[in-house]
Amino acid sequence: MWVTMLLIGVVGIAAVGYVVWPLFGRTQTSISTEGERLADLLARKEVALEAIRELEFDHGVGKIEDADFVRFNRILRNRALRLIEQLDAQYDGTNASGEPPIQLNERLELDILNRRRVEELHANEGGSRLREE
Amino acid sequence: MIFDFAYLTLVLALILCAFGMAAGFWGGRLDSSGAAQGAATSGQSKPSETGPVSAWGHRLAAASFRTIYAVCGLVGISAVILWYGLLTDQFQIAYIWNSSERTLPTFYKFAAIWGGQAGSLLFWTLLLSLFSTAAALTFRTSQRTLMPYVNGTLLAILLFFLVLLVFSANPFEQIGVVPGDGRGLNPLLQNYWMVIHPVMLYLGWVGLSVPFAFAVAALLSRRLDRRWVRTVRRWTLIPWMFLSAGIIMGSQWAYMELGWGGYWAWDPVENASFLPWLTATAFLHSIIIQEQRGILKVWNVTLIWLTFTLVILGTFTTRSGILSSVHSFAQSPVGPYFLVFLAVITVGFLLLLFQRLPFLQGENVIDSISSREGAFLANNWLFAGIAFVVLWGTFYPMFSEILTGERISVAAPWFNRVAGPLFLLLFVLMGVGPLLGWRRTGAKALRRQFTWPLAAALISVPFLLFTSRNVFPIVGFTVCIFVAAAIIQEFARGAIARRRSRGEQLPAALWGLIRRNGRRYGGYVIHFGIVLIGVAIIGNEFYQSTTHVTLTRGDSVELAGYTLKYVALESEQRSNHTEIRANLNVSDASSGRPLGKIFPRRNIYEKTPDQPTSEVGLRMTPAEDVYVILNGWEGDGSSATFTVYINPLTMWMWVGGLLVVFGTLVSVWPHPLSAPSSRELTSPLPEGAAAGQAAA
Repeated sequence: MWVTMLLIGVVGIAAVGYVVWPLFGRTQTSISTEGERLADLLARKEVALEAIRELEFDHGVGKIEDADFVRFNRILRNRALRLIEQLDAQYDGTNASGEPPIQLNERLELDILNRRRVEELHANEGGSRLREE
Repeated sequence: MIFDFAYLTLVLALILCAFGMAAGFWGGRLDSSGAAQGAATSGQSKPSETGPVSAWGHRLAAASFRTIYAVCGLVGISAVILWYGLLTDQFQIAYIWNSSERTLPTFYKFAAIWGGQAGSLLFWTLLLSLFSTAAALTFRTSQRTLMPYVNGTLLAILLFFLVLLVFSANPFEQIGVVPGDGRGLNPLLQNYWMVIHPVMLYLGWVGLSVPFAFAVAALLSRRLDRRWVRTVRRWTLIPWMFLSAGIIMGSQWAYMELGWGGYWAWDPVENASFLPWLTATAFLHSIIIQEQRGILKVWNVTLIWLTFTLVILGTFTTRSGILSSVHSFAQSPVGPYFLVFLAVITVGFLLLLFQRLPFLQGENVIDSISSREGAFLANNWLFAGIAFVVLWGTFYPMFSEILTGERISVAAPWFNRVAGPLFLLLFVLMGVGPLLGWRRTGAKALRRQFTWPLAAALISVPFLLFTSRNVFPIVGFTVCIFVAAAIIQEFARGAIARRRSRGEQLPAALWGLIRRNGRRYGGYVIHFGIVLIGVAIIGNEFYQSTTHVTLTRGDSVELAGYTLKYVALESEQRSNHTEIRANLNVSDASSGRPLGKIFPRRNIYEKTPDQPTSEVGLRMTPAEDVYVILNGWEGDGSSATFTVYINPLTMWMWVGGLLVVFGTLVSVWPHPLSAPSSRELTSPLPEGAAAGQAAA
């Protein structure tokens, strides 16, 4: 019996020590709430771009009539533009090369075009999407 | 000694769980309030690079992660020790004595861990700890705000199961003596489907704890946007796939082992697995609407809570013995524990939900009923309706006994009569939904989308009229044809549109379409699988033929175009049972052409000779199954009694089940290229991080 108690004592000390170790501030882990906020905005922008893609697909296979397509496309693109604007306002958006920001409309079109290009190269579900964890 | 150690590791896991749960919830709270304070005090329009968060909140959250890993390790050690005991015949352990025997094949000794109450609870806890660890590792950095609460919730569930194992169903309880042999595993469980079917069900049930934990975390942290539903989609689909596979395998087991000619009897235990499947399926559809349109937020958190509650309720009914069932294998006094847990989940969740209602406002409205979200919403109502009907029918005997003192059982015909029409409507929606676009589908588009599927369905009606005079199968098959035609049209239209825009050959266009839109087309494959299951159900329900006959050696019986000739009765000794096998020749009744042999049998187990099991004799073809049960025989086998069924289209149920699994895999298959994920975004922002980079 004492062997059992000894064994469980060793395991217990190891397990408890492992679990409470971070409470003594020994573990350094970085946290960035701002990163989460940015991830949120990017995810929302991705959803908006994905909705545009879905709309174009539905229109392409005849599920959405032309007039509806024009209307919904405008709404969705406006939504995506607002998110890009928000991202720029909060995170000093410039393009990757550090040049002055191009027009938002052009940026959106570039985003959509980039998504299509990446999808062509890596054919599968939404090649350029943010990963669904 | 080793079994005492195993029990003490469970006690240790329980203590750690209680600490980790508190650390998770408290850490999450401090973390959130720290972040909120930081944002308020900084007063900047542009956030700083690293948000000020409570150091204690952060430490507690880190401890909750470590608790999950530690509990997983400790529960793993206990499970391995129980397996060791089972495989080495340690019959001084009550559980092993009750669930195993020396001559039991190793295959079944391994599976005996989920063959009884305490072992299956330990197995459940092991799977839950593994799922929790996988979720913690996956989202450790990408979901920093939600994860402490997710950990807290998952540890709370683990804590409940550990309380059961430590205080009520100890799998390591010893009986004081060392018996020479065990009592043996329940004969009904000695079937290969029973080795894998419970594992699939457990993986489904346990896996659904993760999306539930995310819903609780989203409510507690007030982060009720679209991100949590995007996160849980894949983590719901995978358990859903396991649950679907488990249900289908359970049906296969009932078909092959219980020997009553069918695969589904609306038994309470079957319903226990089916109820969470219904609500999880509704959830999978309605989170698409939240993701696309930002609506149905209350409904989605309610659905996943319902799903989890039904999982626990199902486990309670299976194990408490409150409902009689053909396969309630494990009964013990754990019922009150489950009741208390159910009450805690229900009251706790509803209070939280009401508190958070202001954060659950929809961002849009449904523009039109003739839209995909309209169809999805209707589909959700139907799923909820069917779930209510099944729940009512399952628990009615218990309520009737409480209220009137008399147990009134609700049998399969009631379920078929009430749920049948609802399923038919659901099938109609399964065809209609994919034909509609998001937001609004105009009259012209409706005409274009519905013409071919409706034409295919209507053209089939005159042919179907030749098969039956009953209107129900005709309507059922017509709806199935409509849905199948709608799915085929979806593939065809998508491939044609792609060929037109990219100039690809049709097969390449089809392949590219599926690879690029796995989520959408994987869903269609699942729908096609469900259609095949529907076809099999209609075939069995309305076209089955049966006869009950006693044959002397050399005699034959004719049924639905088949002749079955009884040749002989054979017996064979196996490791722990004797197999009594009838030998029958099957031939075509009109031409006399031989079609093969069928061997229905009975297994008589040494430990339980009064419980012989039936192993049906089967000849399976795409058109129909010849299904024979050996009911009894004269001492020397000079005559034997059989029940013969001709079950049309049954094979399509198993094919449909495979398609459901395959479609789910297509739907969840990860993309080889991941754009900058939120995981990477937790590091400090690079200079000039721009929105446009996300899609690069």
